Amino acid sequence: MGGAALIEIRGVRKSFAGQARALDGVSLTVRENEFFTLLGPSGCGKTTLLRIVAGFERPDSGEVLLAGKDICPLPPNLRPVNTVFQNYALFPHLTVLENVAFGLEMRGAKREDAKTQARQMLETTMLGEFGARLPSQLSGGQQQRVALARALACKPRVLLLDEPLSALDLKLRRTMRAELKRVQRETQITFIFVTHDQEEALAMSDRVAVMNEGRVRQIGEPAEIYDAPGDRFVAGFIGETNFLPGEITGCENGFLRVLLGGGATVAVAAGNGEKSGAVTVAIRPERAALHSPADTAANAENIVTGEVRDIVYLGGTTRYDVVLPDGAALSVSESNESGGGNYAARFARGEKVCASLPRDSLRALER
Amino acid sequence: MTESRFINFALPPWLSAGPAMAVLLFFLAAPLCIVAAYSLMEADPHGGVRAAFSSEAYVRFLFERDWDGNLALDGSYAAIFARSFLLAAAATALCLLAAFPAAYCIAGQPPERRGLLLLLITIPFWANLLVRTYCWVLILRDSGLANTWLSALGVIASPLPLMYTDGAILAGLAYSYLPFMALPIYAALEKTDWRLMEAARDLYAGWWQTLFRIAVPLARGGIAAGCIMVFIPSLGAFIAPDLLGGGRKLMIGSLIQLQFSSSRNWPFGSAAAFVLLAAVLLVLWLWLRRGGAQKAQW
Ligand SMILES: Nc1ncnc2c1ncn2[C@@H]1O[C@H](COP(=O)(O)OP(=O)(O)OP(=O)(O)O)[C@@H](O)[C@H]1O
Ligand SMILES: [Mg+2]
Repeated sequence: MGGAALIEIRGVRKSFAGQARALDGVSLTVRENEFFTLLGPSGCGKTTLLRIVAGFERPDSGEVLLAGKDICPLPPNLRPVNTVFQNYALFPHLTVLENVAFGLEMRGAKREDAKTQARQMLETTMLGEFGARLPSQLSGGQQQRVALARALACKPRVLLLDEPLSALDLKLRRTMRAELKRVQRETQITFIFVTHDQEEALAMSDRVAVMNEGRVRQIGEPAEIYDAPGDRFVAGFIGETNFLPGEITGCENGFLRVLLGGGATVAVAAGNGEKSGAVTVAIRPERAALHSPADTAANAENIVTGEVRDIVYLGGTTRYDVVLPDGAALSVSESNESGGGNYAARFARGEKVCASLPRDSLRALER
Repeated sequence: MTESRFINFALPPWLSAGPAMAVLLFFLAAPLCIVAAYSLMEADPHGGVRAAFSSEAYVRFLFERDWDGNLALDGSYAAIFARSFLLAAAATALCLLAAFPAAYCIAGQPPERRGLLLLLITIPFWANLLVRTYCWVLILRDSGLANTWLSALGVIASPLPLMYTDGAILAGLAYSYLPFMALPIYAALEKTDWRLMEAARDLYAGWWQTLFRIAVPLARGGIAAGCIMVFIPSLGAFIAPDLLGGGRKLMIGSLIQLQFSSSRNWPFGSAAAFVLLAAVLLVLWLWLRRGGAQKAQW
């Protein structure tokens, strides 16, 4: 995925009357043929950014380049960009076929040609039989597909999708996820996809931009975002994370030595420049492992001790909530290997345990 | 409180709808009956009616009685009717043309600004209709604003005869009833999902294409309501025809008004009013039937 830059967003700021900044200096680059996701909590400015790219809003400052050309002065109808709206926004007075043909017609195709192309589009999206229906006569999933077909019919350079799956039920959402991904591969159109569902973002994207409060916090491939979160917000927003307060005491062969609140010292892979002072050590629940104190070698590294506070059986995994001596909470999840109805938790509530924290899985982040 | 509601529910429908029925009876049915009765009586030359049955008023509508009492077909009143319908239809079309883009623009504004713009549209309504119509006299007469400006700009050498034309009546009518068109269209547009307009723009539709392909079909109900609310009062208007049309070419409204004032022929005025009512109902019925057929197609 080393394609050329297609969309460049540079220092975009936007505020609405009487409100805090919706976008506070966003810069990012989306490459050709990329499935790029904007991920962030509600109200962080994802939709606003998308609307700026589509042309429905003008940024207060900054620029948006498409293939090197500033498109900010262009109205939406002159941008080779199409949108799949969150509530689909299908035209209720037009049939499915007319909806899909609309963009082609507006671009100057003859009515008959537009209809023919639209019909082909409907065939490829498995909507062939619904062409004569009105949108209100379709199920949510079918409407979603019509919205996608309508936006793709014009073969845009960039397709913008604003939480297109959020109105579907879980099962349909999974199917549509795969379908969207397939369509993106086959059409080779650049997708900018907005979601606040981290699972969706990780599963579908080539790259993800994590946003919060109008800023981009981190951009990277899904594994990078998950395994090497750049700050505490990203670590906390994506997946589950334990945060253990500590103090950097030294640095040796590329690893930081961190004194945790409970008195244990752990080695931590050096993160993004934290070299001294108070930090938060982050670790995913599935990367830590529990042992009984008897099994733990006396000289083993990166061990913390604690007491099991709670045990939660989750089917595929079991989560142990451990309390460390300084009161910090550490969740550890273990996969349940054996089935057959003979499940038994490895530890009991109240039992003393040791947790080993592999140093490559630890991240030292700003508090 | 709940008890009385319960009792209300238990009442037969004709009784619980009593207050509404009373209003309809006093303000709609009773006056209509009086007008109907008047239209079938003899005229009193001093005004009012004499209590004697006569169908003369309706006969006079289409026929002329010569000195010998023979009837001859006379199209002059029918012509007034036709003229009135044409003028009212033209005024309606003019209002629609002006009001739709305006309502569309207002509905596309941020909510805070919409209220102010709507207020501006309705402000002329606060002044008396007679005064507002008289303003058009000041604009259109030979020494009026329009002619002064045009000659100052060198477009015309001598004043254009703008007053006392059908055009002047049309302008007056359209101006008087513009808010009646703008408000229902605005209400319809305001209710539609504005993202549909954005979707159209996103799909390469320009401003006008969005207007005609998306906004107009979606605001159809508002357009129908607006057309009815402009067409009907235009049809019965008499202030604009009198002031701006000079009262030489009558419209139905003026004709009816004349019968009750200077002509002192109440039966004929009542009959004209009834014929007008019948014509309006017929037009409405035809229209609703067409609209209903279209709805079924959706
Ligand atoms: N038209 C508007 N007028 C005023 N404020 C707005 C407008 N649109 C967005 N905002 C504000 O800008 C901020 C960002 O909104 P935006 O819709 O971009 O968030 P989002 O990330 O898409 O959230 P969500 O996941 O809930 O859709 C919010 O605080 C919102 O209240
Ligand atoms: Mg949003």
